[in-house]
Amino acid sequence: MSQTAEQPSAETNENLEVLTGKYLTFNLGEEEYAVGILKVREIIGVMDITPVPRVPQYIRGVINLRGKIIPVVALRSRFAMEQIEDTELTCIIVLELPFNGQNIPMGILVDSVQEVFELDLEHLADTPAFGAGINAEYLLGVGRLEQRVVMLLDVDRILNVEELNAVSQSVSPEQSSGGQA
Amino acid sequence: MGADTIQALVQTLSRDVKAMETDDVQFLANLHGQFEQLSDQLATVSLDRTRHATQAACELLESLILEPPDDAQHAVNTLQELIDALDGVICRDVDEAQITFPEALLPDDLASEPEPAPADIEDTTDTPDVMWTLPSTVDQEVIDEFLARQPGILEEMESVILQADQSDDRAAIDQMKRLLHTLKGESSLLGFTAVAEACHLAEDQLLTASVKELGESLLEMKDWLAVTFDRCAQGETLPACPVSRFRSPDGVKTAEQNRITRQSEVTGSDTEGRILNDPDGLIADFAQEANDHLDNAEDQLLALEAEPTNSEAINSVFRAFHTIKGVAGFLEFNDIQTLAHQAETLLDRIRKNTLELSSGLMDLFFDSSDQLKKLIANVQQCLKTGEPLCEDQQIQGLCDRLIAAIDGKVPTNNDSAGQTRSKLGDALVEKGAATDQQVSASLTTQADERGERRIGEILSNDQGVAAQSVGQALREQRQADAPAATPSSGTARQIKDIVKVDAERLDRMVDTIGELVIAETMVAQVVERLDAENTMDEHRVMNQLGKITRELQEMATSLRMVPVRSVFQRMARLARDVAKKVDKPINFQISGEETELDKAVVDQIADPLIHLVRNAIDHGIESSTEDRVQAGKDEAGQVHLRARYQGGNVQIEIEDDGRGMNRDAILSKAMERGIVTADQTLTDEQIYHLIFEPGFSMAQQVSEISGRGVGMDVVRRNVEAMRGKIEISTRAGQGTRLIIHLPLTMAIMEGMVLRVHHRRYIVPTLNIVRMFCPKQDDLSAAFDRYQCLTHGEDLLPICDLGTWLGVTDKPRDPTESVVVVVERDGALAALVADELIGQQQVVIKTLGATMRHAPGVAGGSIMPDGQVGLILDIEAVFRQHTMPKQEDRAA
Repeated sequence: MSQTAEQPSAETNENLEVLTGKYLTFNLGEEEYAVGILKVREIIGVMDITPVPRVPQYIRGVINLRGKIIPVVALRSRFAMEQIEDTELTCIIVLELPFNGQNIPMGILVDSVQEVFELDLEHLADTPAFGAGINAEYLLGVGRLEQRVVMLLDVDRILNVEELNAVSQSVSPEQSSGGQA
Repeated sequence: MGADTIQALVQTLSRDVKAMETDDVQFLANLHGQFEQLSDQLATVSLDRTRHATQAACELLESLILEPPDDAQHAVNTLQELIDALDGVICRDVDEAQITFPEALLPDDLASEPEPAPADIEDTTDTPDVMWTLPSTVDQEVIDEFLARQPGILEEMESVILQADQSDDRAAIDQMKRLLHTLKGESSLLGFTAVAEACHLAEDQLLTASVKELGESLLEMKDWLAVTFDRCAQGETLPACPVSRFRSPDGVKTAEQNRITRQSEVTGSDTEGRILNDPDGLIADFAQEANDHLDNAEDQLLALEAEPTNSEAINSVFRAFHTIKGVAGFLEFNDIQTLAHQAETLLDRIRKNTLELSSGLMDLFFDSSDQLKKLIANVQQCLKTGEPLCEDQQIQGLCDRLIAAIDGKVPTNNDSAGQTRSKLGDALVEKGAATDQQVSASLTTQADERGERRIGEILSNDQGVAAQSVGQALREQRQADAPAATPSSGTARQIKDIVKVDAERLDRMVDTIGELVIAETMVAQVVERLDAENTMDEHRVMNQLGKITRELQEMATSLRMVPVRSVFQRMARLARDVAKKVDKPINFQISGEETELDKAVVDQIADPLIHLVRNAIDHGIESSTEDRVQAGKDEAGQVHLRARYQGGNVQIEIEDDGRGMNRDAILSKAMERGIVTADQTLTDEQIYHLIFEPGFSMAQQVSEISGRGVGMDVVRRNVEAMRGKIEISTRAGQGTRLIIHLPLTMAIMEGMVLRVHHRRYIVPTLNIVRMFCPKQDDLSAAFDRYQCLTHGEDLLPICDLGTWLGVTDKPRDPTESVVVVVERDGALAALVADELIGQQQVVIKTLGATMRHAPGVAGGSIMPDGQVGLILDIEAVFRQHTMPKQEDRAA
């Protein structure tokens, strides 16, 4: 896996160069995704998650991570994928995301965790054009791993704290008035 | 003195700067001395700008020595430029106004505009838009640390100024000067040139004016400093100083004169002494460190005595003196600084081999070290007893000897040096180890040899006195000479040691202890389940563990507690300003400022208090003193700010003896503004609380200070954010009292744990009025959904927690549930829950940045089983259930 890569064209090289490095891969259904290992703080098994009322659906709730309360985002829900029951393999990957100059911990709920691998330039490709209606902006690029294709997630964008907050604010009155009726 | 000396100095400097190497600390220190000398000389002739530039050069060198910057070459160039400029002014007699000084050394306005403005005119309005930024060469961490300390210093400054308002004494001036000086030194080191300059000018003016006279300007300057440091912390550009007398060169003239008076003052010595005030422990630290340095220096001196060419030892002693000099100068211990400086200079000569280390010189160093120890012991003593520190006059003789030695005159057996020796002789005679003849013969020999050898040496070598007894006598003598030094090291350790800790680390520790408590509970449960017969040991160990965990938990919470003093002092300042603005005589009193609260609460209480103090003075107190006198009150309005413990809470109370609130006026005003409708019936308490509604204002006119109706809304919001509540009591014509009830800490709360469906929620006990199981008779309903509960005379809206929180779809039947009646601002509501689990202390945690706005939830807490329980936001309950009409409109 550590062969030196041939230099692709200079342009793509520049874009993809920053993406080389180690990744943690995980599954959502059959699909395989990856996040940069430097963002991963730890992986924990799924535990009882306390739901928080009137926040966006994809925020499953909060958990106690050694004395600190952290939110858990259900990635399936975030990508509007089909909901399934938690299994024995279901995991929470605790990520550290930059916010206001600090790194705040946040959990993502995934079906199962796969492996850690190193991506070099040779195995990287730009995000393919999926066509209209598909949010390719959540992807940094695509990695090829043996026969598999791994989507490199842009977690900073998917779990953008500002955005989550903005969404939760706009969603709340709707839901609350619904709850009251 | 005069032109010739200056010229000579400049010439030496110009030679030295050319040869300078930035990594040779010794050489730099030497240069520093020369620049200092030049600056002092320049003070005698009226070359203000030149002197300023020279002083800046001193500071530049100081920073080079203390913290070598990356681009040292830049500093060298600057100095080179300065030398060229100096050469122009001094040697070629060019008018100093036409010389361009290096920009780095002279602030812009001074560099380009040497023309002095009248000193007594204070144009506070004219704040020029001169922005300045910090040089990027200084280590960010150093700046951060510096900035973190500033609020405390500024607070102290302010309290000094305010106290001086009442009684103007020398102590205030001294303290102010010290604060300014410290700030000046540090800020110039870090590149806050404008700050350093302002401090410098202020300091100079304090020599002639009292703190009281300068009060306004100083306060304004303090505000500016606060803004500056604040902006700096956020990385913004920094504003120019608004106080002209501390900014432009108009102060320079006075500063110049003052410098001269100051010098004479220094030589005439500060006989009145200064009270040592050491809030940061700087002085205590210094004393302790200096003693360590001196101990080390003495060790090295002894090594030197055995091996006079040991350059390592010389350097080590040099460093000790140099460090002491630097810090002493910083803390304004002139005697210590002078002495250390002279000793250092002498050592320097030896280091450079211009002087040879003779035994006479060794004595001199030992004497200097002893004297320094005495001075430091004196400082420590004064620090402990609070007596004013009188600068010791005795160093003059020693300094003269040092200076003489620097000039190459090796000390002989005259003055005190001779005394020491004869004392040694006396001691030996007393002990019977030597005879009178031997001693006097040795003294003569020593005089003949011009003090090349020490008396002890001569005695033992030439006169046959046992070397052992000479050594012993020497040691005893040294001990006798420094009697104060020995006990002092003991007292230094008694001074409280304070460690500053990153708040984040503290929080992490508190978190971890919280986890420990949970783990302990779990283990305890396991032990409970064990076979009861054979678990005596386990139970004993568990008891002990429990005790330790509880203690840890208590300690963890107490770590965050700070007194409200700082905030109260700010309020005193504010009250003074507001009273001046509205032109009412006010007697503002504070008490209970030692009451401790969570640091987060103390930080947040300031904003509400500002509004309440303003309101009390602007609205509470009658506008005319005649009204007050007619009502039989003092002319001056009485405003009290108090803090006290009350149960597990803290109460902060603001009381004025003004006209009180007019219930009917408030009500009609509120109706006028559409805050309440005519058909609503409100209790007195509820009516008074209307003043907290956004947009409510009693003021006929919007004034600069209050009247926009925003302030009180802020008060309520902030107090609620701290989970506190406000109580109002007022009597028309007699005054108003507002009591803010606050939890001791933001971190821990008394909460009632409720079960709703299969989830647990926590309601703050502070809000709970009553809990009971209602009967059918207590309930009534409208339109099938707006249920009401009869509670005494009131009809309470019912909030079904299960549906409200989205746990279930079906509302519970209240008659089969528990109802918790909660209160906020005098209004009541009933919460319906499945079950009461019980009351417990919960550690409050935020839900993180993503959940800041989660409606209905104020935070979370880790339950004893390790899961998260959510704390209900009672305010949200009221927003949605008490005024449904408004809610609908808003949506």
